[in-house]
Amino acid sequence: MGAAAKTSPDQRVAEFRDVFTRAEAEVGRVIVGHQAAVRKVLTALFCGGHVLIEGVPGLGKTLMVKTAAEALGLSFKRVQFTPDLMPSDIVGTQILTEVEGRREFQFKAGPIFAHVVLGDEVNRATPKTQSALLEAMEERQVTVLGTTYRLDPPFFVLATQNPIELEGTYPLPEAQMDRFLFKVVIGSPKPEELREILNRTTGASVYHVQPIFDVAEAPATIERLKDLVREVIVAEPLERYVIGIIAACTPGGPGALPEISQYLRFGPSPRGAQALILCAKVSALMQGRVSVSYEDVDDALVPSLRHRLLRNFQAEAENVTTESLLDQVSKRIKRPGRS
Amino acid sequence: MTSMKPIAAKPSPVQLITGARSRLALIAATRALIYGLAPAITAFAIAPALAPINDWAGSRFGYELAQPTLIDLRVGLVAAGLVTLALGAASAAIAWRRAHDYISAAERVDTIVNARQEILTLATLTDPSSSANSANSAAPSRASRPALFPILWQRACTYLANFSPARAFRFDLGRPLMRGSALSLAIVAILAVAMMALGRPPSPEAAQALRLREMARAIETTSPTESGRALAKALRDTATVLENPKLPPEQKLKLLAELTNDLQRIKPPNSLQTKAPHDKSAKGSSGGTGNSGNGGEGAGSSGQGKGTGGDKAEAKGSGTGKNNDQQMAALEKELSQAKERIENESAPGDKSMPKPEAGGSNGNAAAPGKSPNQPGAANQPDDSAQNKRPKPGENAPPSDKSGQGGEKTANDDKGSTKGDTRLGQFPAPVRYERFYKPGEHGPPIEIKDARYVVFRLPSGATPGGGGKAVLDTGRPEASTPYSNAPLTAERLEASPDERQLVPPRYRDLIQ
Repeated sequence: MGAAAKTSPDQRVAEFRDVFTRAEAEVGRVIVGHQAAVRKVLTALFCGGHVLIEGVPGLGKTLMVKTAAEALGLSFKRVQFTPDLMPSDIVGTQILTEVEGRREFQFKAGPIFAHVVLGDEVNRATPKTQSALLEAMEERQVTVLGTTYRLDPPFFVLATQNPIELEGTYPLPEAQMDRFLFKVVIGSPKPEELREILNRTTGASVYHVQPIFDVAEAPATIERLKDLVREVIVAEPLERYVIGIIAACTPGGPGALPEISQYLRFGPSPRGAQALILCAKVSALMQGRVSVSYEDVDDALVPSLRHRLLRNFQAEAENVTTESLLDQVSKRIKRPGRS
Repeated sequence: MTSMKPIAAKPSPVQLITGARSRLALIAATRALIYGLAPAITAFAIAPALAPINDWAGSRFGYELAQPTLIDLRVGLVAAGLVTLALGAASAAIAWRRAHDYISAAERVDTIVNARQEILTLATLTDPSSSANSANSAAPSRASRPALFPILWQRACTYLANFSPARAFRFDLGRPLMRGSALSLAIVAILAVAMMALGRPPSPEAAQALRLREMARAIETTSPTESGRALAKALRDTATVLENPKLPPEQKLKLLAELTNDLQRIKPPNSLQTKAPHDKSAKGSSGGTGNSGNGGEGAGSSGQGKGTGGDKAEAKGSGTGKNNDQQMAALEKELSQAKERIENESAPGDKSMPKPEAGGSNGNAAAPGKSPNQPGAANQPDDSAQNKRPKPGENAPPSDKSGQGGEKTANDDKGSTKGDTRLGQFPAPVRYERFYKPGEHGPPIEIKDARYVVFRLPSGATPGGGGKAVLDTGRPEASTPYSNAPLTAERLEASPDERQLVPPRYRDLIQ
């Protein structure tokens, strides 16, 4: 806060834009394409949320997360989720050690104790293990044998899951899906992007990511920028717009669209509205504004809400996607005060 | 010494938004007022012109509104104008109140300057009405404004640097005027329909009076002499008297007689000189040359008349011309018709009514030789049938029952003098035609002019008609009881979850 007090609001906004742009560019030096996905990942980081990344194997999900962590100068841990993975494998455990002739339990921190944690194929672990990770995501602390350990900020979890080979997996429950700020879907690269990938990965030269911060100052800087995001102003009509979107997506609700009531079992929780506002704030800051616009909210609509809508059997049978439903919502929702 | 010009301070964003709010409210109120103002003006403009319009319609189409109806319509028009004016004012007040909103004005300004809701956000933080209110206000006070507010203010100033409410929000009254004109047209259309619905043909007296006034006008135009003006005035007075329903018919007849006498006095020097040699041929002709009122040379009118006196009346026209002759002839005809109508109406079956004394006013040709001023039969073209019209209560000759001359003058029913006199009489079955039986053909039966069509209904079944009434005793009957109740639905509409639709992910497995 001290730095924030010294710098003017203009400088803080300019710093945010600078950091975001440089991080985006740095990740872009390694990851070909997927600019929208990279931006959403960085947005979630500055919002203080977590991201669920969905894509087939080999698209660079892990590399993207790792590169982002390196570019921001944050510590990075990766956990490969398997059916036999135990919660203690994630959060850590007490082990009996001998210290100066005395045997005592010492806490061995798990991989969750890092700034950026990648949970690879999170749907392959058992629900018990998944809940251990998800609890840490929400509480930003873990409790082992009665002792609570806080996770150092910025704690940022990126979980990936594979949309194919679903046999023997444990799909994330809706309540746990709701804890992810965004769900980012990564598609296949375009031919020209694939050519660039081949050039970068099969050539002799290897690019090493350069951190944009001093590693020691990185967490504090990111926390400061996260505070700035929270300060972005949202006008009351914009808040009503977001509330209208949530109401339109709630089946059976007073403002629900007919398609929503037809194809959804459950709508988004208040976390969905929070995600919309936070993402819109980052979007506004990225464009040098200190107030949210309707376009900012619309941009955040699909990644913020797509995993919070629970389809019913009819929607699955008719192959109606949540993205198409959200597209209908964004087209038909009325902006307050606009005639 | 350089003169220092005062630099006008640039209005702040709040001032500009406030100015935009006032401007938008004014525009909205003006537009709303125009919706009501245009029809109101139309109604107020038409109301005083209703009487001339009515007169024109009466003279042009023969239909006009009665005076009380006309007054009611005028009052209705004024009332409609007042109502639309009041509605316009009320809607203007409502529009003003709705448009006088700081946030809405900011949103409009935001859209115009493409500020992406930055002006709107600024307005929510600086709404004067909210901040001036209680602690419940949504807008934060100056002290509690967000830390990023200065940036928002600067950006708003940048956006609004060249913004002017007067330039941005124009009145554009074309559309409201068009809509108001549509309402005005609706009022005019309703008025026209009302006039057509309420319009009645003028009464015979009124029509007569109207014609007399027209003649008075024509006389004044064609012969602007002292006598002509006097005659025109007398005609107008007579028309007024004719229209007065309170005056007794006797007085009207007296006035008509006086007017006829006046006409006889005026006529000889102006129109015709009549010679009436004693001749039994009763055939009159006139031919004359003279200058018309317009200075042209007119040909003398000619005509044939049938006088009851059986004397020959030969007239030579040497008056002012053809126009005057025709006017006088028409005037005499009108006066004669007016008298006749009054007599018909006032004395159906009343033979005690005094008959007018003036010669020639009873429809018969004047007796020749009585007065040199009497108009000859030559100036009464083709009114022989009218001159021979029987008096009410008199039996007309059988040959007149058909009503020659196109008017219903024949009357063989002494109990009534109006309308269809044959009502109530069953026609004698003479010369009736019959309809053809089915299958029978023949020349087409002309019943177009039939007054009655008599049908003969057969008294009973026609023998040999081909039909036979029998009782259907062999009709099959059901041996078991049955009803026409609808069958129960075999399969109810399945709810979505019961359709057993297969999700895409399982379709391959099931196949």
